[in-house]
Amino acid sequence: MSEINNKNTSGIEKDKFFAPENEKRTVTAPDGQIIEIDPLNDYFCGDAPRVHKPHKNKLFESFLNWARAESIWVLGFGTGCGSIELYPLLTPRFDAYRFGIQMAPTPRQSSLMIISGYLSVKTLKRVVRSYEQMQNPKFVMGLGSCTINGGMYWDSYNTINRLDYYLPVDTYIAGCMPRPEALLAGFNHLKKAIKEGKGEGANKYAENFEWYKANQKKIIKDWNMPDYNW
Amino acid sequence: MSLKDILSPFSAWKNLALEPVTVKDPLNERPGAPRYRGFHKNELNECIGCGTCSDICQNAAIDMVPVEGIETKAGDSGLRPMIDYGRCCWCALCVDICSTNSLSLSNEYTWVNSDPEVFRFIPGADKKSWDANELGWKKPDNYNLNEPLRVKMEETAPDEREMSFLEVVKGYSKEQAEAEADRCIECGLCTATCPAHMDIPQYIKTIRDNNLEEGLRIMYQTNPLPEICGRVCTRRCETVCALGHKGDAISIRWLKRYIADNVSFDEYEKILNEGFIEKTDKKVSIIGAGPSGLSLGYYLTQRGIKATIYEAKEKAGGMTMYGIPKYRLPMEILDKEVEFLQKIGVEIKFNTAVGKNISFNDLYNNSDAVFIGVGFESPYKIGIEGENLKGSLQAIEFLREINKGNKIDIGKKAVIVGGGNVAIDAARIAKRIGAETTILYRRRVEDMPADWEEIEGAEDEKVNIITQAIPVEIIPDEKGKVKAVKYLKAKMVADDKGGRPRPVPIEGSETIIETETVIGAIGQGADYSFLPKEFEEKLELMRGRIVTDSNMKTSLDKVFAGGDAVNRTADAISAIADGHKAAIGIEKMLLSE
Amino acid sequence: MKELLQRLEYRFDVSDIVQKRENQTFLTIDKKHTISLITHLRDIENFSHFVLLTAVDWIEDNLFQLTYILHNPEVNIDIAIRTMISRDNPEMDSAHHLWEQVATYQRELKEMFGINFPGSPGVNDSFILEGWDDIPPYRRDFDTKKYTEETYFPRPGRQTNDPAEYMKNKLYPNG
Repeated sequence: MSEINNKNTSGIEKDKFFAPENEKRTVTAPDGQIIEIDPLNDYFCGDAPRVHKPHKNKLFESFLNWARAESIWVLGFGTGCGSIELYPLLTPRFDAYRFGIQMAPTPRQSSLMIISGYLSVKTLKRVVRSYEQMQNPKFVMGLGSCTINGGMYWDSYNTINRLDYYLPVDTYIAGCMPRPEALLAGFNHLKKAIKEGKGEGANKYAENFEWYKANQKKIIKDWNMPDYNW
Repeated sequence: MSLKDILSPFSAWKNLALEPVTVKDPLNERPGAPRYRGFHKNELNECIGCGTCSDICQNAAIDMVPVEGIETKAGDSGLRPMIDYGRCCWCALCVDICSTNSLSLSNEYTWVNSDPEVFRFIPGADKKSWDANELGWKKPDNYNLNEPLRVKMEETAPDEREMSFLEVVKGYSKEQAEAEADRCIECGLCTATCPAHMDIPQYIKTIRDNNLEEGLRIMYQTNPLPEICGRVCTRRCETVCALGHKGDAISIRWLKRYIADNVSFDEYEKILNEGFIEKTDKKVSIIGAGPSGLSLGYYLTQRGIKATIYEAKEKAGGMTMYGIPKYRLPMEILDKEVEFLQKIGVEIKFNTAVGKNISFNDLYNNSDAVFIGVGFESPYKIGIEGENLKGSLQAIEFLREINKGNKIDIGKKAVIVGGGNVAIDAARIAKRIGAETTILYRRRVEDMPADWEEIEGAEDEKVNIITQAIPVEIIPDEKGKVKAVKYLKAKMVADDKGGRPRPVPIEGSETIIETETVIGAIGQGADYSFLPKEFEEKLELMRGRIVTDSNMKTSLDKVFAGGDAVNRTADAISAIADGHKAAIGIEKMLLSE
Repeated sequence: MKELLQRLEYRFDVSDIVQKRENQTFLTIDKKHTISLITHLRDIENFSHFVLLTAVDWIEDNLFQLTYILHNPEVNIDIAIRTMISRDNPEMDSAHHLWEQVATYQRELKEMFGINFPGSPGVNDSFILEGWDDIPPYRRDFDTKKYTEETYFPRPGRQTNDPAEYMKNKLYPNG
């Protein structure tokens, strides 16, 4: 590993948490070409997210919302114990596919992030990166007590209490854990909200980007990642 | 490739005719199981706001909040649980521990919203769709997180105690006391009901922690006669105990007695010395060494004010000394407490009747304040013919003579009229000195104002109790002695004004019961004849009781009063509370000068 | 089991031998000889399976207790070895050369209790607490509740009442 570059990259301070993979370095390509790499600038978009206004034509916009609501692609990322309640939905008994719900393997192909229960700080870091990589319009669903006010992990040193401080949440489902049926009710609620044009979480995130970032950075103390991932 | 390989994929077609496993409408077709632990329900009228649910919750999900329309009263804090579904994990510990079984879970489990602030509600008060759900989790029968029954107090066997004046109740052992103290849920509902507002949960806790000295200190903060109260308190605290709703109330009285009995008397001074302030030159005279006077004496001494008690009789304690039989409150116990008070500086002048041996004016002029704690010493008459016959006694006088150690001949048969503690005491004493005893009471057993434990004790000792019996005449024999009592049977008529049912005599139901002695025990009144005219005229009374403000001050200047002469409940603990309040009032008055 | 303990007592200065179950015994040894006892158990007495390594914070005595549990699958016997180390600058010899997975336990203890195991691979890398800058959270002087309230700000607007105190204010405020 080469020596850490003294210059700051993308405004990130060099400190004890600085990750070696984010260092500026030179790489020799197979053809002998020497390439300078600044990972945080080259791999990621440094710009803040932008607000995407609804389409001027209301009818067209409602058509778009209908399409968005009826094809919810869920990011396959179980953050807590509640993800176990998600899988039965994909079995023949519940067959969530008939409601337009299916799992997607990567953030860039999914539209819904389900925070399934408690969220440790370590996971939050991955969640933020994943969420930012998702394309607009994107939605967040908070599953269970933990996402509302900490749940049974309310006094843990390592789990967050209030999800809405770190991500814009569209739907909360009470329960510990909510059953798959309650999850379906949550999907219905979310679909209704999207069709009514209320699924504006991504725009909220863009509008209050500084606030969200400040909250996130307050608890993710080793912020050795880009400020924005897309 | 064989033919089988070609055909086998088509074997899946056999499933075409099968019913699909998919649930068509999962949201409506799959309700929670009958015992599913879904959202909370609460019967607001049954709930007493003890806060045990809030204490047991491991997730700090339950707040106790005031609810409109629910009043704070004895045995009900007026608070109700508010559940935060951002915390709850549906473990149902709150339901299992609920002291009234009012809290339960419905089997409804779906609650979705975009606003995280809405998941907080007061079950029962905030209307929810699942309030009417019958199914869900309730505390199963015979499943208790805490022991519902109290530790049984050992007693002398009834046949053994019939002829003796030994203390009936033996007191808890260490193991028993700790087991009983362990049942306490520390809700503190009892504290408000106790006239002296003793910090009951805290001193019970000291039993659990085996720190009895601290327990004694806590008790003396509000009650300087715990040994007496530990035996004969009317313990209204136990009537509001949260545990009483599902099982037995905590034996608060016996636990208090356990602490007082198990701290060595020699250590009292050392333990309780703290908090005493330096002596001032203020002097207060106290008339009557009953519980209120003794209590006032203690708290005044604690505040550095010199207290002198004038007692007409030869011993201190008032009613607790002369009115309560020795098998309930041994005399040594009282003497011990009085001795301690004298030790710390309370002066008691025995055989000094105010108005006879010393004039009220002298006291009034020579002290900074005067406290009247004379109690109710004059018995009410039954008010029927033949009451002045030989063989007709008053219970108070009867008990007093017995407690003094004098012998009274009551013959072979005795009838006691009344249903209070005094009546039961007199009956059990009469039984002990060898008479066949009958109690006549106007109402039913459940209406008796006496302690149920006392009533049970009397029944165990084969005291005959005739209820709904109204005596109308005492019949004399030819020598002018009591021969029999004539009484009418009564029927209970509901009171229109909402009071307790009234007994109404049934015509022609006269019954005659033969007896040699009749003991009247229907209550007592006050005797203020020791007061000089000018004071007596100015002293404001209401139905025979002295009117005071919240600091026990009477309508007379620098005169305070307390005990039976003031409060309607007429028990030792109220008198003790009066003494404490008067001490605060007197201190306030003397300091503001 | 009995013979084994006798052999161990003969060779090592072990104390506080407590048999918790028929096939499980706890014993205590001083810090210096812990690793040689473990090595002896593994190589001579066939305790080939390392069950776990954990720590207890005896804050009153200013000590950390380390517990190594070893298992002998041939005769189905567990031995737990306890050793006390000082809480001031806690350090222990690494045992990762005996079993590879010990390194993971040691890394965890470093993170959660701040006990250092010099030479253990990756012992200084953060494990689940990325970027932790407070005192290690499993230490008993770490106030979890206070830390949580300051860091994760619970949802505001909650207020509770103590029934006894509430009744006092309502029914007898001056009493």
